[in-house]
Amino acid sequence: MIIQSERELEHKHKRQARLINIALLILLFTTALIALCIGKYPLKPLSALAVLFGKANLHDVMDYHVVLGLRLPRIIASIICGAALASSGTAYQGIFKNPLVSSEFLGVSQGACVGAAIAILLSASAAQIQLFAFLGGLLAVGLTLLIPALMRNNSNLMLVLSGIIIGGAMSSVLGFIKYIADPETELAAITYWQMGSFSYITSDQLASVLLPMGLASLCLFGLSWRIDILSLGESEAQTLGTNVPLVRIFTIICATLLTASSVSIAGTISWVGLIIPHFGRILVGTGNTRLLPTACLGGALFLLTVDTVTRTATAAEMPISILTGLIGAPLYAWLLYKRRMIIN
Amino acid sequence: MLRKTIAALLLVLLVFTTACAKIPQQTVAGTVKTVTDQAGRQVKLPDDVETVAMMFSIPTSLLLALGVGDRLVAVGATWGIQTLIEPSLETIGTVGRGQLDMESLAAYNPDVFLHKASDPATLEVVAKLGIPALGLTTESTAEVLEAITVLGEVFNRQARAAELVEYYHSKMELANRIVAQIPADERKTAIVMGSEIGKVAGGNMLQSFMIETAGGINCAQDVESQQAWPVVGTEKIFAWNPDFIFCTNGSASEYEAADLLHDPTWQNMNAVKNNRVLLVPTDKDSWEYPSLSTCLGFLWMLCQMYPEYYSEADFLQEVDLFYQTAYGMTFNLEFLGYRT
Repeated sequence: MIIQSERELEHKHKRQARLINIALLILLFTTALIALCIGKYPLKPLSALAVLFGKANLHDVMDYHVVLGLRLPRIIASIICGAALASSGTAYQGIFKNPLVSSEFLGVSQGACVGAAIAILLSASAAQIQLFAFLGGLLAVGLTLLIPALMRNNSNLMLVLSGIIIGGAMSSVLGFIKYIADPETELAAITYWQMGSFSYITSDQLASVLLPMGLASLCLFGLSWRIDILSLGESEAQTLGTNVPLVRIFTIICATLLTASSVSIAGTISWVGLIIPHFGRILVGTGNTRLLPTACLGGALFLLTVDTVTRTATAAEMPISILTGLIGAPLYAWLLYKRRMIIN
Repeated sequence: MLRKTIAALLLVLLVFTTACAKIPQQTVAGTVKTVTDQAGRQVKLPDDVETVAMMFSIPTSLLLALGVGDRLVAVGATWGIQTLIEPSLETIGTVGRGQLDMESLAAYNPDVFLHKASDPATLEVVAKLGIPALGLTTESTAEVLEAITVLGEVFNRQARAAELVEYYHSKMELANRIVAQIPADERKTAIVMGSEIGKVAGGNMLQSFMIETAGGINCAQDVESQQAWPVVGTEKIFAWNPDFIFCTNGSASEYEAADLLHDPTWQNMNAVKNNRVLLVPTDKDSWEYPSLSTCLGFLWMLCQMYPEYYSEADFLQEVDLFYQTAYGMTFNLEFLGYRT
C-alpha cells in the first residue's frame, strides 16, 4: 500500500515537472518571438515576423539583415548559452554534491579564456581556438579537483577555496598572455574573445558551437540518473553497479565542453550556472533527471530575457554580465536565506 | 521522450541558424568604387559617400579638415573645437561607446562605417550587415597622413587630402631646417609622460616622433614595448634626468605638472630645477593626439626647447595659420587653453 502511494507520488511529481517544463517552453518561445520583434532598429513587430517566415517583400534588405543577421542569431545564442551554462552548473553541483559550485567558481571559465588566448598567440584557426578553450577549461577543473585530493580533504569549502585559487591563478596567466601579446593584432583578438558579447554573434559562430553543445547536453541528459546515484554517496553508487570515476569524468567533460562553448561565443557570463539550478530545485526538486531539463529551459529563458533587456533598455548597450550580476547576487542571497528556512 | 524533445529542439535551432545565413545580398547603390583601407582590405563603397558612422573618435578631426564633418551621423564622442567647426556635431547620435550597438548602426544605415584597423572582427561583423566597413590606423604620423589620403578617396576629396598632407610635410621641413642649425652638443633630452607618473612614450609612439622632429632626444627611445605608454617607473626617469618633461594633455591624467614641480623627491631633476615640466597644449584641441594638430605639437616643443633658434612669437603665428588651413577658422589662444 505504502509502495503504491510512493509510486503515485513519484508519478505526480513527474507530471508536475512535465507541466512546469511545458510552461517554461511556451514562455521561452513567446519571449523569443517578442525579442525578435523589439529592438532599436525601427521595424514593426509584424514586419519582423514576416521577414522571419520569408513573407516580407525584398525591397528593404536592411530589414532582413536586422532580423535574420542580428536579432535571430542573438536570440538563439542567448538561448543556447543560457541552457548550456545552467545545465553545466546543474551537472557540476550534482557531481560534486556541492550547491556552491558552478563553472566560474571552479575556474573553468577562466581556464577556457587562457586556453583560447594561447591558441590566439599561436595564430590558430577558429576551430582550434575552441578546442584550446575546452582543454583550458578541462585543465582548470582538473587542477581545482587536484588540490582537495592532495589535501585529503573532500569538504565543500575546500573545493570552493580551490576553485578560487585556480580561478585567480588563471586570471593572472591570462593577464600575462595579454601583456606579451601584440597589441595591434593578438591583444585585440584576445580581448574581443574574452569579452564576448551577444551583439557580435554571427551564424557561423552559432553553427560552430551547436554540434558540441548539442552532443554534450544529450550526454548529460543520458547521464542524469547516474548523477543522481552518485549523489547518494560513492560506496552506495558502487554497490548499485555504477562506475563512479567514469561517470564523474564523463560528466565533467560534458559540463566543461558546454561552458567552454558558451564562453567561446559570449565570453564569461557569471551567475547563470549558479542560481538557475537552485531555482530549478525549488520548482521540481533535487532529482537530476527532472532538474536538468528545467534548469536548461530556465537558463535559456533567463539569459534571453536579460539579453533582450540589455539590448533594448539603454541607449548605449551595457555588458550582459552587469545585469546578470545585479540580478544574480541578490537572488542568490535570497535563495540561501530561503533554503536555510527549509533546512531549519 | 525527453531526449526526443531535446533532439527536436536542437533541430529547430539548427533550421533557424541556417535561416540566418540566407540573407539576400545587399547591392551598393549607384556607381561603385573600391578603396583599400589601412587593414589592407578592399572595401566597396558608393561613389558618393554621404553618411558616415563610427564608434571611435580619432577620425573626427580628419573628416573636419577634409570638409566633410557634416556627413557624420554617429560618433563615439566629440570635444573642444570640433562642435565649433561643425555645429551639427552638438546633437549627433551614437552607435555605442566601447561596444558597438549593431541595431543602432543598422538604423542609421550609413554609407560607410569607420573603425580601428586593429579590430578586424568588428569590421567583418559590420560588413556582414551590408554596411561597408573601413579600417583606419593612426598610431604614427605616417599612418595619420595615410588615413587622410584614404579618407580623401572615400569622400572624393583627393585634392584636399593632398593639400593637407603637403601642409603637414612643409611644417616637418620647417622644423628640420631649424633643427639642422642646432649643434649636437646643444641638443636637449626629453620625455613625454603619460596619464600616470612613470608612464612614458616609447620610441615607437607618435609622441616620440614629436620630440625627435623638434630636435630633442627622447630618453625613452629604446623602450620597446607592445603596450602603448609603457610603465618605466619613477626611478628610471630619475636615472635619465631629462632636460624637459612634457606631460600629455589627457583629461584622464592622474597628476598635474605642478605636482611634480612641488614634490620634494623631484627637486633634483634638471627639468624640475629649470621649471621645464610642461603640459602639451591645449585644452580644446590636443596637440599630441593623433591628428594634424601634432604639427603644432612638435613646433611648440621646438620653441620651448630651443627659443634662441625658434621663438615663441614665430611659433604663435603658425597656430592661426594651422587652424585657418585645416578648418578655415581661427581660435584665440586663451580659448584654446594655451598658457604663454
